[in-house]
Amino acid sequence: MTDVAQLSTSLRRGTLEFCVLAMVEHEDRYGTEIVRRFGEERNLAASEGTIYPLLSRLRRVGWLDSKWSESPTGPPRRYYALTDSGRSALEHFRTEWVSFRQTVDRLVGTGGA
Amino acid sequence: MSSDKTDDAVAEYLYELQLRLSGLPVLQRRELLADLEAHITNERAERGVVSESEVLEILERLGSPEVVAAAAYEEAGLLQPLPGGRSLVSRRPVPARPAFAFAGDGPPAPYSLPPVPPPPDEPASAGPFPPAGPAFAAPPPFTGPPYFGGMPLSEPKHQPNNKVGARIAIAVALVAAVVILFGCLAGAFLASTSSVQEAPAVDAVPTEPLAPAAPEIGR
Repeated sequence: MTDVAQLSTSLRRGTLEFCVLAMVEHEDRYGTEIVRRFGEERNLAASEGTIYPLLSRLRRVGWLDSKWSESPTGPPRRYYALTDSGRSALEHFRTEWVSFRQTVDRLVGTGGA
Repeated sequence: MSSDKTDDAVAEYLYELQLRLSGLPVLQRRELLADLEAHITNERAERGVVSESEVLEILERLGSPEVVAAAAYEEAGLLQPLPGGRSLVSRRPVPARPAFAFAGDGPPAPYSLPPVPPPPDEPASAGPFPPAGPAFAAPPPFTGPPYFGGMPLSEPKHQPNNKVGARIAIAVALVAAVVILFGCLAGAFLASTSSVQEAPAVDAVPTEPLAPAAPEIGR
């Protein structure tokens, strides 16, 4: 059980942030929306609260921008937007990811031949 | 509608989290608390949550304050302080700079993720070290306030024990050597009925400092 959790933690590390970037690639989203979206993905299941520190780091390194804005229905929302450097980071990840995935598939035998 | 109770639960949750964030730069700490507070408010408003159990469910999905705090330290590239002697060593002993960790043989990323920027507003309370893993264990026993460090303080016993054992062994060997020396000298003395002079002169030197060492260390 611990090993399983450890594995998914390890796999998540280094990839989850690009899932976040991709999520705001085409439209700005607010925190709860992003978190909720991850909550629906069983394979990514992390404690929702841990997404916020990640968002904070992505903002600090300049890959995301954020701004608070009033919501028509409730409390103010903090919207996140992809910056230019975030966009190129995402593009770079996509290239890397494909070749990385192919290598792993080949070595581990998960190529699905 | 038990809004008092649910508000209490939320406030307690945020308070518990805040307690664990004392090692973060103040702006990051406030940011995280504000984010979570807004999240909870959003969830309650948008899902029409009123009952206490539903609020508790929201908090549960967020993760325990320990888990959230650990993630906050990791993302900030900081070590988590040890409050009250509890071991809160980050569960994930890897530097908080996961980007391109698997980058393999490709060219270096043109804009590789800058290391987490230095905390802007707090004294440099921790360096850019990765969170401490077990390898970081056994610091010298420290007496100061909770600080960034490795393992619970009960750990360092092993090493001293080994050293004490070694010292005891050495002391025992020396004592044995002295006893044997005595035996030889006594034999020589008996055998030769004369020349008593040298014997005391030789053994007086080593016995003095060495003999007391054993009881002192053995405790």
